[in-house]
Amino acid sequence: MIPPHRQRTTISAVSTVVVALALVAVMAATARDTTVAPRSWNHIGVGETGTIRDLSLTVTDARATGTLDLHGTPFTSSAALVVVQADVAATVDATYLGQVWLTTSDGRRYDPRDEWTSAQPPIPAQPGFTVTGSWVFEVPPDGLDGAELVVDNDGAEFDWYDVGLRVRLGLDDGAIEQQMLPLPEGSVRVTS
Amino acid sequence: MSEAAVGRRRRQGWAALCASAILFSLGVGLDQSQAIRQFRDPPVTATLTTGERQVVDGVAYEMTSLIHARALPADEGSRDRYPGGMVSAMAGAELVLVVLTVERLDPARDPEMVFCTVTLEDSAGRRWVTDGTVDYVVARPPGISCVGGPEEPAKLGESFEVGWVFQVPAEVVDDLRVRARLSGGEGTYQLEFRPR
Repeated sequence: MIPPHRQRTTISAVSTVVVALALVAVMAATARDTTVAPRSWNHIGVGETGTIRDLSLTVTDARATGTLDLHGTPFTSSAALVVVQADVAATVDATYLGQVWLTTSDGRRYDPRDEWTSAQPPIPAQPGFTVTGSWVFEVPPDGLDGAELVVDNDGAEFDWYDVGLRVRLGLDDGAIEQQMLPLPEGSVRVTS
Repeated sequence: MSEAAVGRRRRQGWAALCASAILFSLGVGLDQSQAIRQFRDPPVTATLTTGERQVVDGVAYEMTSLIHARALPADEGSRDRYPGGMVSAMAGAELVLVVLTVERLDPARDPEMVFCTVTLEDSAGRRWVTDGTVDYVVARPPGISCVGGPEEPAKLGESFEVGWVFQVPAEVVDDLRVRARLSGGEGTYQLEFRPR
């Protein structure tokens, strides 16, 4: 015969284990995706300026074309070449603009094409200077509707909650220009 | 002791255990975040002015000069590419050449592990890194890093100069201090140099 106080101790211990296991199960089931750092987003449009920790950015123009000038030679794509022109100013530290991509309304992500690196805003962008240039993305024509430029702060040793920028590019009509677009080189000027 | 008292004691014991676990976790988290912050931006070990010398981790550092100008002489290999042999800053900006004198004093310090990263900072806390478009074409001392020359590390007790070139808005040139982040030895340190 087990004494009553022993029974209570056993029940208490078993309950604790059950509650702990239930807690672990709930945490496992509801855990966030740890491969993606938590973000909240500042939503802006073309012509508007958004500021996050490392930088201040204004998209001055966004166009979709089928042909671009690649160092004097036409570069034609059966997809849409989205040219996003922007001004970027660093806020406190030099920024390397390493976290820039285009996202479509179905969640697909496109990194800038690297054939036009010289047209991109020169890096690093340093405080007191504004860098101007264009990123070029190649996306399926049906990806233009709802396309956004996403800009995040430069990565660090430890990535946690942060605020990023999402710029609605206004290409929702899906129109692709037919004429060849030139891409001037990126430039820097003092703005302080 | 009554059963009620035993139950209360047990609950208090559990509460104390949970509180200790939470405090321990918070302590570990705080320690980790401080370690990361200190690694990225270590506290300033000493504030010096031009010509003052400080020994850190067996290596002596001194800011020999900080020169700012609209244009600085190009180095020998680049002189032909610049009008009048001078490298100019862009409109509204100035070039800043920072020269440090470095001397390894402690034989225990690995000569190939004397690292320094130099930045400029204004009183508003804005920071500048070297400008790659001018850093390699302006005439500088022969040292290429705090290790020493391009061929081999500096010898023990042999002082040498090393320089860095920045481009900053002209309006901040009189409001600049130099931060040198030093590593490769026992710890990570930061020296601040204020020009005279």
